[in-house]
Amino acid sequence: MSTGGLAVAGLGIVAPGVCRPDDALAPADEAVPGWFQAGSALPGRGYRRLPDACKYLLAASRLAVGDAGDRLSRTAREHRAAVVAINNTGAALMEELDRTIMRDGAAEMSPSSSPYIAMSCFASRLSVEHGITGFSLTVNSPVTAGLEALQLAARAVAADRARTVLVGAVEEALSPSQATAPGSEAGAVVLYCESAAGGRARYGTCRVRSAFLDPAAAASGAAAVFAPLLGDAPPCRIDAVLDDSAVGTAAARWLDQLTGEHDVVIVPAPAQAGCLTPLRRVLGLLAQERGAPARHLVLAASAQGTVTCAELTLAPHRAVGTGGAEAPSV
Amino acid sequence: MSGNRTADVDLEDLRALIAEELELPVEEVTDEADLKNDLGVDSLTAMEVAVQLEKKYRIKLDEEEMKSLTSLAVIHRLVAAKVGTA
Repeated sequence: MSTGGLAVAGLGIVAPGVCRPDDALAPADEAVPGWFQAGSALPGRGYRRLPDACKYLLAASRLAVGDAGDRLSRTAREHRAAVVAINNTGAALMEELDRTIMRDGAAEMSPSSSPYIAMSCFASRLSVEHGITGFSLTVNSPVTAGLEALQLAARAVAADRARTVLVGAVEEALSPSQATAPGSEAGAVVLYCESAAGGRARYGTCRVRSAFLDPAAAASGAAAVFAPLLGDAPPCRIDAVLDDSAVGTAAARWLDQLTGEHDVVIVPAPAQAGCLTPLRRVLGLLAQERGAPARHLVLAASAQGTVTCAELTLAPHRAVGTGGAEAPSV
Repeated sequence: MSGNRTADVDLEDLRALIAEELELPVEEVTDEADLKNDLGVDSLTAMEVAVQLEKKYRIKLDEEEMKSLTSLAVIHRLVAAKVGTA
């Protein structure tokens, strides 16, 4: 399935070791205690008792909205929307709340953080923060949710259901008892998106397609899924976020035949199906300074069989703008 | 008993607790400041205040009492009465 295009006008990322959007292509750092300074990222009242992951999302959204200048304030609230991808975001919090209930009783649960047992609360809080009344959606697909969030946003914009969509992905590190391997994701990415039809694409445009590859027949079914998904003329560079599942292996083998004509970069999928890495990859590519337009593809696949790819048309621009400063086109 | 102390509930301790919960300087939490209209307290923050009051003073507040928490002076009277009868 394919949808219309989205123009990206603002970028925001909060992640360990990342200071600017154009740092986002670097390998993810481990989330060590104290990596996120909430006081400076979210000055003001009303944030202290929120779950950390919610703070990451709000901080990244502030950066993206600020980077887009006055676009949000010029958009009516009912035309604003949010689509947020999360998978493991609430896992550590739920474990902590469980511990509180068992140790002290339910009455000791914090009224501010306990609503986040419902995973949709993260997108809802984002909507409250930015006066978004169009709609808010939460996407929970393993690995691919961030790219699917872009796809849902594009569909909504194409249907004129929204004019501005904050598309985000957020994850929180799993607790030691939950993590089956090191390297669970932490942080948030937010892209400020508009219709690609009307506006000027500041960082570039993206078009998202998705498909399903049956894990039980991944090797034999790969060609029938990936050929139409990538199209007749795929971009020269393809970043593929893959794990070592049957689906990931089949995808890697199929992409391997493109090597030579295409620059294929395999990015290890995050531990335990986190959804931050693919959208972080999209943000990092959009943020890179460039003097000429370029095309690029970010593909992600999950062990469960969802396969999603975002085709990016990257706009020429100089350094990443901040605070709404328009990065001039070349 | 001093004027600021009623049934073992010190007004300044209470002011500090509320200021901490509201993330405000202590001096902004005056006795009569309206929590909602003057100090920008929403329903969720009001519940946080109530939970902290219950913890610190080992009291229970019912739903109607939570709704009545409109200023420091009102909270002081209510908590003092609860502590006094505990």
